[in-house]
Amino acid sequence: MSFSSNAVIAKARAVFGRQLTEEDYITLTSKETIGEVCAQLKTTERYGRVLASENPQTVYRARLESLLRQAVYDIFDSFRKFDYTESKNFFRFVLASLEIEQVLMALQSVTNGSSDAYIAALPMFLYDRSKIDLAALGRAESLAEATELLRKTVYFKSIGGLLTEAAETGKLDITECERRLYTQYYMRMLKECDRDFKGSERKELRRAILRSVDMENVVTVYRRSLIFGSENADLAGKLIGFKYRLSAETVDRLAGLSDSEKIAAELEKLGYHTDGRIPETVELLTERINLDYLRKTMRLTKSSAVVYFALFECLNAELRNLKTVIEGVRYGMSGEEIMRILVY
Amino acid sequence: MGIEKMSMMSAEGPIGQLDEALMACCESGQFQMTSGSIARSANAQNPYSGIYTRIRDMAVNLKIEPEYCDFKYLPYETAEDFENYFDGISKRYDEINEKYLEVTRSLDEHKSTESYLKHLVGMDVSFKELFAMKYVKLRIGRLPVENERKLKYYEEKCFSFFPFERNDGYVYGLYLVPTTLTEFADEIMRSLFFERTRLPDYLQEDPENADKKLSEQIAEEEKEKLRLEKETAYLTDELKGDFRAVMCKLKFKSDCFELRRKAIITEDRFSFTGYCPTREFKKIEKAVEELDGVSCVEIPVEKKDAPADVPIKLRNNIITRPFEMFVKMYGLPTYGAFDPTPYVAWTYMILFGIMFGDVGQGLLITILGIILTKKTKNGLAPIMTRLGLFSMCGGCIYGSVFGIETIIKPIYHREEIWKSACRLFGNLGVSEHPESIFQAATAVLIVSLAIGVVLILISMIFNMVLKFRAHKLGEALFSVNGAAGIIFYVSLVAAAAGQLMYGVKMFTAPYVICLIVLPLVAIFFKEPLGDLVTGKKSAEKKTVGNFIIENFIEIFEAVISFLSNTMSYLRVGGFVLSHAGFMLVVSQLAGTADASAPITAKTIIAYVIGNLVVMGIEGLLVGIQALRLEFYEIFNRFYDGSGKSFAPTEIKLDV
Repeated sequence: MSFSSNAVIAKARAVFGRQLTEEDYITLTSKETIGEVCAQLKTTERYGRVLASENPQTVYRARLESLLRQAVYDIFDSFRKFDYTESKNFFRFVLASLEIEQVLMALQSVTNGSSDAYIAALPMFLYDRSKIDLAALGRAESLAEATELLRKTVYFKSIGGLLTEAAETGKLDITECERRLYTQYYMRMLKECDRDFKGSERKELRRAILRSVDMENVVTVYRRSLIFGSENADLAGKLIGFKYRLSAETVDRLAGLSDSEKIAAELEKLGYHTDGRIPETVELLTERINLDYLRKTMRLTKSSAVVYFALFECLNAELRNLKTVIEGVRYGMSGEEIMRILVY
Repeated sequence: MGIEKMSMMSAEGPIGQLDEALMACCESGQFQMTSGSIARSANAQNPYSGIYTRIRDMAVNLKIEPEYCDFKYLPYETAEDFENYFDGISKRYDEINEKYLEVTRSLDEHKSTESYLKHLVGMDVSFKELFAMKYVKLRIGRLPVENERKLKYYEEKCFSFFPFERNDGYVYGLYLVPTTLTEFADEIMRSLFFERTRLPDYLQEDPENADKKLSEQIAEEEKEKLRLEKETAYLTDELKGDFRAVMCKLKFKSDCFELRRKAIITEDRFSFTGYCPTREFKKIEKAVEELDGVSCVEIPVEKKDAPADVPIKLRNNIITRPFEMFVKMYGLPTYGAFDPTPYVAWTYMILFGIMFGDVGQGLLITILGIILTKKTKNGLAPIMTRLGLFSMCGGCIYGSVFGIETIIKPIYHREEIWKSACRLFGNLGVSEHPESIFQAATAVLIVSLAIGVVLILISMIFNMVLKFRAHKLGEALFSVNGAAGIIFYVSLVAAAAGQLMYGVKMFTAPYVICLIVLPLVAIFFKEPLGDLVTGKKSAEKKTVGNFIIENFIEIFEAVISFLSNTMSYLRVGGFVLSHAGFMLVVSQLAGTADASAPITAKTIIAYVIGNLVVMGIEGLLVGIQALRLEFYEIFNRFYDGSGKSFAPTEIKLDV
């Protein structure tokens, strides 16, 4: 392991060590306004800098969420500047993940005609970094125009067909776009993993990635079967195309289950353990399983890429928690109710 | 020496004297109250705690520092009395505070407006003209810098943004929009996080002049704010004396009320019980019986069949008392059990003295310990004083004075002592007396092991004696730390020592079978043998398989632990050598490795710094390692620290 690899691991663990604790969330959820939440977050080391010039009395919810996302992005940006190991390539996947999110939002805004809202929500830190003209994409007046803008990007390979078809029919299957984009995203990640890493490091990284994919697929199975009423036979085609422990039989079994406790019991058989705390929803359950695993991995691994990946997932989870807190406070939920839907 | 003899004390009297009786007991500092158990004990809500919290908050507002003062002269007794007092004060305070808050709010608003106006300097149009526009609306505020770039995508939307200043990640400016499109433009700008500032109507001039006018207004408001602060300060001065006394009395009342929960109260009588040291009972009894109608009774607590809740107070002599801190860290003994404090004290001091032997450094540690004992209440300070003395003894043995080994003759340079040691310990690895401690490294390590063996044996003997005293014959005879374990360990050590050091072949078949295997067998069958000896049958039933597996693992663990615990004492020798090594480095850095080298200022400075560094780092390490040996290798064998500490009930009047 190289010195810079050690440095990446040390820095990542230091960043991880400063994550928000249960006490921090209790404090945040006890606030009554977005301004109070902002004022509280200003006192934290991680978010204090980006929120330094914000006035808690006048801050907008969307602005607060955007700044928090920027704070997380800045963390990874800071890694990029000193990481000379293979893990620096992982920064591209951080960017890619944000790009995919924006591409999907842009396509939705084109179909809905809500480009003003899209432009307003577009994070400028991403706009500067991305090779795609995201603003132009969001302002496209038709799907045909959007298709042309995406033609020279890596994403066209996976969704070009859907866009061309949608340009003719006027109807775009956004969930299928999402599935294909994320399948491509994970495929690229796994290919890089196989190319750049060897031995136990490669195994460890693949395991971490595929576990995340499995958890996403579990949520998809649950939503598709229970909410949208999809048939079991159709489910395979709706999932991200990589599976770790989720066999076809397991998917069939999961498809019939309606609550998180039963799903947790089924996942337990596959080796996906919970710490006994079973959240109310499947989304929270899968997030908790993934997070518990990645946190342990973060502490024990000697691979900078695995640490990086784990940190990325953990920070995203923290960001989701903060958005939940902000929305909960905004809509007047009690602290207890908000705490129940957080994963920490 | 050991565990203080305790007595249970029971006080009883008329209800009117309860608070005073509690106070008299608590003032002694030697009384721990126990909870009452009868249904009619006091469980009402404390009426004083709420008002006490409010008075404390008021103290913060009035900037009155709480401190203890006499309160007996105060006429307030009931919660209602205190409420009336508080209401009177808070009314006067609120009158001033409301005005103060109003002025502060207005001042903040004006300052915020002023700061915005500063960002608009350069706009040469008056606000009067801008506000007077009929067909165009004006919005002033700030926009995040990154979102300013997004405005180009709204160029066709019929509103125009005029930036004036960029500062702190924001661009300050205004936008103009036709009246018919105001809502639409406001919506877009809000989505870009535009923060609108509403300027007061009285701003008529252009920003520069408006700023001047606002500054004058702010100055006036600041004067008013200062005046109100002075008025609050006068109020504080007026109220300070009585306020502090009220706080103290309220605290006293509140704490007494809390203690009442543990008392048994009937309609007109009270009673409460607690523990106190037997030798303090007379003093407490005298204080309590001075109150009218109150009497108390003593019930000495016997060691046999003592109640489980008897608190433990250690009592040791002046030499060993500071080491009670270590025993408390591990856990206090139960009532009637053995107090390990003297054992810990002497073994710790000896081990420290061996591992950190230097006359000069020991003297400094002692002096530091004496100074810290006088100046601070740190429990480590008196321990340092004692450790320093033993360190000096160790230094005399090694001949080390601040790392210089030529001032005192080390023990291994005294030929008669060295020869006697060799005769006693056999082959120590060096035939002639060594020149330096490093040449006797093997001897040092062997002696360390010997110390470890002795300490482990003493611990096991303690365990055996304690178990005999507690009539646990099975454990005393057949447990790993009982007679069987002692025989096993002594036999093994003796045979190994005899073989390696004296060349005597002791591992013969009868020896091994009788003194090593048989004790292990006894340990294996500890439970049934124990039942046989005591004539009782144990309630727990085990299957044969479970029995074999559990006891096999226990034997295995016991053998490993004997080995590891013994080896652990090698660190004693290790630290002796490392200390010598450190001081050798210091002497080399100081340039005194060569005996004929002159002593210069550099030499002295190097010695001073080197000694300080070694004292700091190694002193800390040795202290921790010696404690580790106490807790893991010694306590583990005989001590169960499950006692509860004696915590005298207090009514703290320091508010």
